[in-house]
Amino acid sequence: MQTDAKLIEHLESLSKIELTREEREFVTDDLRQILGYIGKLSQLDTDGVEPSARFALPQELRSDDAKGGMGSREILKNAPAQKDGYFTVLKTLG
Amino acid sequence: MKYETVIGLEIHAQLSAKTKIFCSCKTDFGAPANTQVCPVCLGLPGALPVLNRKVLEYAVKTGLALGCEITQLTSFDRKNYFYPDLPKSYQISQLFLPICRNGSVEIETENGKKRIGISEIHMEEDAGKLIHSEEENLTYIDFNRCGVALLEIVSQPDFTSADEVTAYIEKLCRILKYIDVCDCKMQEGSLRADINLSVRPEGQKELGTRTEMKNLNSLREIRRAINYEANRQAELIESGKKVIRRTLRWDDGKGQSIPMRDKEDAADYKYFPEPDLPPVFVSKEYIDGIRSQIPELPDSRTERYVNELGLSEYDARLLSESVHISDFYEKVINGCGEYKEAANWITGELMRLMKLNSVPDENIPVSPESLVEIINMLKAGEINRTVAKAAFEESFINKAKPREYVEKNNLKLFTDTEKIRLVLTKVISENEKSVSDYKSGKSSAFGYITGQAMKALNSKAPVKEVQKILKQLLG
Amino acid sequence: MKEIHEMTAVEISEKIKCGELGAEECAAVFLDRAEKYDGVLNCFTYIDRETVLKRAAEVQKGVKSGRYSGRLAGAVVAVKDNICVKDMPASCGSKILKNFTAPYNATVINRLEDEGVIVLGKTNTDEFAMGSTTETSYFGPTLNPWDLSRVPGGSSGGSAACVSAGLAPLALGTDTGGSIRQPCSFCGVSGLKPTYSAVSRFGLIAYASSFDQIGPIAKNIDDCAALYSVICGKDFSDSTSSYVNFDYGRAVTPDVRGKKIGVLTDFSGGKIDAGVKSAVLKSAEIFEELGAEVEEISMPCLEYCVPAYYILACAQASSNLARYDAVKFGFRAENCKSADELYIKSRSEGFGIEAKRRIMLGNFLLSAGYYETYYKKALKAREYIKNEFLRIFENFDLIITPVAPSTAPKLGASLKRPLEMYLADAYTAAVNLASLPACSCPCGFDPNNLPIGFQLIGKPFAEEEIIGAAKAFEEAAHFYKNPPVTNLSGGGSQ
Repeated sequence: MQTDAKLIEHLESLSKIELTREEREFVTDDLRQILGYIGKLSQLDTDGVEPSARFALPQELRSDDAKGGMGSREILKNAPAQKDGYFTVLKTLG
Repeated sequence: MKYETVIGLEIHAQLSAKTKIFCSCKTDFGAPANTQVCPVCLGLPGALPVLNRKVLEYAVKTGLALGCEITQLTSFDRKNYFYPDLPKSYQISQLFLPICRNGSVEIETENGKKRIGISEIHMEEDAGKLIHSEEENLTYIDFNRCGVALLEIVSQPDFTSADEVTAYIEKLCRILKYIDVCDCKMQEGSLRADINLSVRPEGQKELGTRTEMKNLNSLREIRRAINYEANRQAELIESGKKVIRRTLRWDDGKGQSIPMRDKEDAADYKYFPEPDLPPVFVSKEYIDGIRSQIPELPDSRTERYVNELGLSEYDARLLSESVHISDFYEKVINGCGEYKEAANWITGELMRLMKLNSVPDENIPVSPESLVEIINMLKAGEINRTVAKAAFEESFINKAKPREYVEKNNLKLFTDTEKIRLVLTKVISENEKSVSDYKSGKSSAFGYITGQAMKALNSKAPVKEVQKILKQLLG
Repeated sequence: MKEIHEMTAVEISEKIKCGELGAEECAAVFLDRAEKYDGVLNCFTYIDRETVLKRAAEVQKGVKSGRYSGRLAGAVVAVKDNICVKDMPASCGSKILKNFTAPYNATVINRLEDEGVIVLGKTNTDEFAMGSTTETSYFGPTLNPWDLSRVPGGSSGGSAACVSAGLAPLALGTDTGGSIRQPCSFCGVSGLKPTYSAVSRFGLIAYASSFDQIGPIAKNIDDCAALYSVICGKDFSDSTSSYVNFDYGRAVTPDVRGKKIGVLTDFSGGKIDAGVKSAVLKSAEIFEELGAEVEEISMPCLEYCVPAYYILACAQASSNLARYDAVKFGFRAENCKSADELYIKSRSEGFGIEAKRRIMLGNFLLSAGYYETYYKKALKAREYIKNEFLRIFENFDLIITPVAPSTAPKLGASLKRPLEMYLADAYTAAVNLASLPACSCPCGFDPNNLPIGFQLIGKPFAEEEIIGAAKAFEEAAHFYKNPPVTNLSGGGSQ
């Protein structure tokens, strides 16, 4: 695996993060090391290992009974931007 | 060159559960913005999803109604992408172990019958609603719809035309409404379609490059979009250009498919199993329990009405269209045994009045017993058709009981011949002129006398019976 | 008589219930100490004196009326800042959440409130609990009360340090790969990482959902047991939570005679300080003297724990931290021209470098074409390691290991060598991978007078057994000591 500039750029795009130049150097270096390190997991023979079966049954699930929500005022308290009871962001679609 | 269109559909059906898929918020349509939200559906830090039992039940029910295999150990996965309508920046959906697989639906078009494969059905959560304001350069976000339970019904690429696609959607709606899992109100967005479409020169084996048009919510739009996109792709190929694989938005106003710029780089959804929800195991008994709740489906009813009850194909279809109408019909025929008569009443008077008063199928205001009563009175000659119709309308509008209505308003026919004879004798004696005209061979006079007789009887005797007695009395 | 801040929470509560002390008086002691020492230590990210005293007065009334009669009624608890307490900030040590006020209580907080336990404030953590030093916090590092030039461990460094320094008798921490046990070990206090699913995660701001667990931190194992007994058990808001059968009285009965304890101090690829190793071996001898059967064991698969752990944790984190997009809550960058730019700028300015690198690594691991190689393989490795532990537990009741291969490092030393820092998590992360319970107990000091801790690992839901053994050890060899907080600037002689 090559941790070249293109990969970092791709990961930045997937992560919606833009690194500074120093950060990029650091992360590139770090990623190279970490990937080399975790790559050794391939040496562990896990053939025939089945995932454990912890599961829920239908009757343990939530019943379809409504509870009041939080009220838009409470919900919007933490909103970075809002208008008329709506959250707002800059226009999304062109 | 001639081109062939290949279409696959992803239908998103909003389930009619009272609460959302992973939290207890209500799902009412049209509530004020951001009033049906909580930390879970808003994806606030620390909140966790809990699956709604009803959603699982509806998913299994749908799968069974569409002939699918049910996955006994089913689980949820995260589909990761950024979009302002998606609060957690991932959608909880199913990739690896969807609840249903391998079903099918039979459709019928002008070209005959055809089976459309359903590759899978999975449960997932809906996103919020974005309202774009051009002049403010703002997008308003309402999260009420966010977390409402959806079934995504994924078809095989088995369609070749807009006709087939609309037939399929109509069929699917009928079934979903029959089993009462989705109201299928396309105008409210409770049923939406994504269309995957490609074209290829006729005879070519491999598929062309496809595009995906998202979120179409009317049959008219779907039809236009398919025809436009198929033409667009064929023209591109024809002029030596290539179709680009991308996601499109159908702009119905412009009548064009438009590339969605924002979602293009998000093609990598980085799916992985949802660690906040353990897989769910559904037993054979559970599945059988749900199977037993599924009513007989429309196709089977139509067939039975034609083959066993002798109805016309047209009437049988009309009656099977809605489970409520069909159930009503079955109750009526159980009460009176008159298959055709009952069918005529329902496809005629009942449907006319439902439409006239904009009553939805699930709220038929008249009881099957009332119709049975009316049919039985008609059969026994107690009332005539005019009275029967009036009685039916009274039952429909004012909840009147037909027999009570007829009796209270004195609308019953005379069934006593002696009484009729008495009245007619009086009529003859009061119309000497016409009687002698009749006797002298003027046959039109008989019509006049009959009219007078009916008037005297308040139309409450069968005309044929009256004429028979009149002739006897006039010798 | 002991000073209030030297008492355990159970002792404080007893005195409040019998009227010897008042809840407000006790709360004030800790508020005063926090005011006095936290300027230097930086354990707390949020403390509001008025709220605490108001709540203490209510609790006092409740104690009098008999509404609160539990083992911890009237005691105060410090809460790690990644756990939601209604109307208090929940910042997770991150700029991206610095203005976020939790609009609801985590389930554990509801349970504590029902019990009459008072939330003292929110404690410092590595950003989103990602780290083992508490240095990655946006609010600056917490210092180790034993040596102010050293880290307290992490990510629950604020919680461990505040208990160690007597700024709170009890604290809640969270443990994803060792984040309760390791800071406890570095600060010389006790902590419990419960079996995965034993404590509700509802209201715990997720780092890696399939590992995260809330657990208690205290001066001794009794207090840990008392706090655990309040917070554990099934919660219908957390689908992954379990029913738990835990009895405090049974748990704190010293019990180690006849138990088989496996000792694990080495594994291939790992380095361990001689001082740590000998302290753990000495502890094993103490267990033997107490009547346990002790035997060295090896676990070759331990070297795969850190890779498997990091793959799963970073992948889950990349998804869990995607919701911080500046739309619904949290930090929003200014002067953005599009929604996409808003995401990118807000996230780039809002997250620190540690969160960024883990998010990016996680995105890589889940990106198209790599899922099978990394995530799926790591899931299988997790199962394999779980099975290895269960195999050992066929012959042993408990396993004792070091918590960390060294004592607390100097500030700034670890972050320069991230790979080494990750490797140091092997002993603890193995336990999270296997979803097992483990406690961390003080068991000695190194030549620099820094605390050393061991961890006792038990079978799934064997918290009682772990605590019983730890209690026997504690009674035989008490290593808990007050740290030299009196040397802190601003602190006078006590």
